[in-house]
Amino acid sequence: MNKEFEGFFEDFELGKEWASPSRTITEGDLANYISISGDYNQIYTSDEFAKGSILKDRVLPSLMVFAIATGLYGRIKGVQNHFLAMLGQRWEFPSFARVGDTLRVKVTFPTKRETLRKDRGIVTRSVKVVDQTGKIVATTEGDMMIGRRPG
Amino acid sequence: MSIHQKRGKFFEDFSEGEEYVTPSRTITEADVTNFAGLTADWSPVHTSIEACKGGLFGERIAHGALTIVVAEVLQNRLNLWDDTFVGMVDREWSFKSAVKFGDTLTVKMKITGKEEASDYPGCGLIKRYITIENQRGEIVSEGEGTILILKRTG
Repeated sequence: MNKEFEGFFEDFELGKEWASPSRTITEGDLANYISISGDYNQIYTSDEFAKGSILKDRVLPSLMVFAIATGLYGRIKGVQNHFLAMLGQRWEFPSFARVGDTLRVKVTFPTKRETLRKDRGIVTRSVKVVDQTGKIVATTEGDMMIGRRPG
Repeated sequence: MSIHQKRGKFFEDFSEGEEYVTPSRTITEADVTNFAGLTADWSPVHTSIEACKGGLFGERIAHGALTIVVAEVLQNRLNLWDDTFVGMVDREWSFKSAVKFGDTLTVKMKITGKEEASDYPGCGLIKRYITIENQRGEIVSEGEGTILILKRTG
């Protein structure tokens, strides 16, 4: 039985790959995102417009994939327990996702380093958002501030 | 729809150096609750008044991701690319201040470059620098982003 991952800076194993739960993105999810964000662009909301465009089919907004991915990441047990802040991040969107795709987040933590403060360290996070075919829909790299184990 | 009926500017119509200020939007408890529900991020910093007392901010703050989404949509309301936006290529940022419930955000956007899009011959890449400010004039976040915009000839 593995010791439960507590999510302190000391607990992050470098190079190990973690996977989040998966999530099928539905018309309901898309409708919610469109409503919450206020992005009514026809490439997301109109079959007729999308068919006549170079995209051929309605797509999901890339920032919706980003938003869903942040939630999927947080559902990896323990990773957010002692999360303090992101220091900066860069997202890339190599391909489109569409309604009906099942997305999952795969993450590794390539490096980590201590800081001058004894209560926190920096862990680098490298994320791929993949669909059911393994196609990479989004990627991100960024440094996270993570709390250190007290004592 | 004929190309002449497309709303928004084509790639050819954008120039480096153009600057825009978007309309503003107040981030409400409803926005954050909805975003928590959509994403499954119910972190206490966003959703629990009691848990935030004595914490770094003392009160609930909006998801960073929500502010990035809102900033994009505020730019849409400039009506620059209603029918000519094809997709987002990349987006990079760092957060400078937290967004408290009731804060009002405005976005300043500057076109910083134009490039050919080798993977999408009917489109071009527009590079932007995006600054998100609150009602106190504080920078919430800033960073770059690249989008694909349809060419007139596309």
